[in-house]
Amino acid sequence: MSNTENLPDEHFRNKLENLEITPSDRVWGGISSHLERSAITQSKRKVLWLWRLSMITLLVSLTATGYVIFGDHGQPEPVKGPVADNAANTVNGAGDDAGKALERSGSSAGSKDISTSIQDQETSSASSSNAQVVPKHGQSSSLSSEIKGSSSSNMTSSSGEMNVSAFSGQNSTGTQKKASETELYNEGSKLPRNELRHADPPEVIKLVQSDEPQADSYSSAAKMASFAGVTLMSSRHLHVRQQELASAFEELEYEQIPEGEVCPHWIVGINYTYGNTYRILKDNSDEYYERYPNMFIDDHKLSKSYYDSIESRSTGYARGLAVGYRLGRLTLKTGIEQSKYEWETAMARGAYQGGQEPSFVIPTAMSYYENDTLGENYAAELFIINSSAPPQFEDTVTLVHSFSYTSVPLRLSYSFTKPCSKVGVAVTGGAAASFLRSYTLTQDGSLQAPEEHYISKQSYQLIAGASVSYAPVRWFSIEVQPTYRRFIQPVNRQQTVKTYPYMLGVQGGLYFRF
Amino acid sequence: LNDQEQLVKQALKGERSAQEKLYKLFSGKMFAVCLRYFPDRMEAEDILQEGFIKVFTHLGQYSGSGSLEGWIRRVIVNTALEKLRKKSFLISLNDHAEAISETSSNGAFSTMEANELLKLVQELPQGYRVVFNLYAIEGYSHAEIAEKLGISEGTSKSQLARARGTLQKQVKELYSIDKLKIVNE
Repeated sequence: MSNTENLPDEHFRNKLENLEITPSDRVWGGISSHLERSAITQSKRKVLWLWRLSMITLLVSLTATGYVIFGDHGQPEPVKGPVADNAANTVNGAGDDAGKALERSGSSAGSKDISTSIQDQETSSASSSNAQVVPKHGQSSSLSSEIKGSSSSNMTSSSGEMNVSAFSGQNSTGTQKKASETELYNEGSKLPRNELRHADPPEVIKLVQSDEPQADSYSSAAKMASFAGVTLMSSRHLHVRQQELASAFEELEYEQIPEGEVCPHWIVGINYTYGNTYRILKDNSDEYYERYPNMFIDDHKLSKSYYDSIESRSTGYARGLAVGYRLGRLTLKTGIEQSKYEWETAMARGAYQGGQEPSFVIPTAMSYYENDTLGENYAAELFIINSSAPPQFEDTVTLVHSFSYTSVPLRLSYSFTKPCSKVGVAVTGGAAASFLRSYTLTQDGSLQAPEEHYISKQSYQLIAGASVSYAPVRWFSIEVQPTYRRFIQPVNRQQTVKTYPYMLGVQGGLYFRF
Repeated sequence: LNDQEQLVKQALKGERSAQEKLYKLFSGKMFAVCLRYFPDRMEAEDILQEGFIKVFTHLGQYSGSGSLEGWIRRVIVNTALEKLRKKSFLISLNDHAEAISETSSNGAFSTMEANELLKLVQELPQGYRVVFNLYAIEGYSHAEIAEKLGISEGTSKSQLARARGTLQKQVKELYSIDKLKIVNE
């Protein structure tokens, strides 16, 4: 048995293992079409996923914004305890329980102001440390305290002097305090706003404006940034990377800073970018030609001199409106942007080899710049070779491609550092949708039939970035913003060459507040 | 080998030309595999198509350590077995229970061409054919076959023995007919 067991198997294995039989062509046809469908489905899924993510982000941000604007923020009641219990007593100077230093009025409604000055307190007790004096909207009376040189109180600010004011909604009982109250209040209000903002509020006492409801207390600031940066733009066409340098960028932002806080909540901005690049494709022509030596267009083999002959220059601008809202360490920004980009190409005619009748090709190309108020400058490029036009014999032909886009970016930033502090480190993630508004092609000054067919009407991008800032003084800061942006679907419609442009940029800029 | 690695990398990126090259490289051998499990050519082509779609969809799972051909072959064989499971072929595993004695016909086998041997395999009852293919040609053990087909090891062994017996019987008949022909001529 053992002798016969393996022998037939080996014959079969030896002869059948490497047997080859050619299947019919329909098999590859079926595989190819299935893979094509699968790729399209995956692409659609990606887009769908992005839309879902965008909608969720938008919904969350709208909910958060709505809560901040319209929600009842649940202002805590004044703390009961030793301070409240002894509120009727006013103490000026050291001695008794510091809770007595804060004066609390009776229960009847009134509009008298109370202020207390605590100076050189030696025995500030826990009761004063724990005192929380909080504002109440719609109440007209207020309480102000100035604390100077308190040796043991938690109320002492980092500068050793601070101005504290709060609404109490209760009446004063001591008229002799009126004079000092007014004096102290006036003195407090003379403090420069910058000092007020930079003062570190103690943890136990909320720093608020004394005689206006907090919600209505805003100051405004305009911020102007002039960026000069280097942006490395890359796209892969025929697996060869092209790179350009750009550009100039300016932006203006308007901020609303709630009084008593150092950071703006609302940010409204406009921006404008102008870019100008000049490129000679022959920088890449060797690589093109080595990789694709047998590139044919309309039966004409492309020569290296064809690539050498192409020169291009581009101009573009983008302008936009943006709105942002900061909630703690999170900042959400969105807006709308319009960009226009013109790409001018000059190339030699008859640059084919092989003795064919001279002709030329029209490279249908697309590039555009896009930017937003975060200072990111963005460019994408598509380069599709498309053959058309009858034979020409002039030396050069000039083509101008003009593209207009409308874009909607949505991005969320998270600050690792305390917002608006001297040194800021933040990361940003988001997405953007761009919509092609118009495309025209001009050849030697005359308008041609547009090749819009090759360009996607919509494109979607993912954005990831970071920013590092340093503000030695309040009115000036330096920022560096590295950003990566990538298309998640091809910007062209061609099946064979799909272009997913991406951009890696580092912008450096100076901000001035005034 | 480097070319294959390059092709795999390109195919993983979704480059259709690389996928086509890989297909052309292995489709002949894999089609022969399919034909061993499914004698009907159309059915075998369906299996080949389905198998290669799986190959390209899951190419990322190929670690690169073993032979690419071996990996593709396993995918194709598994696809064929899946199809057989759907057709409830296992019912036929216990059919043909008649005992077939094994006699040596190795000399005859050695003189036969690959196409003739393939034809013999294709003529085996389905249950025998699958076990014989898996054990004798793909090199699976009885334990592995039992696990793949959801049968006992004993069934696998008996199916293999019957497959061998049937093959030898077929060869004998074939040769006796041939001899008769020669004598008559």
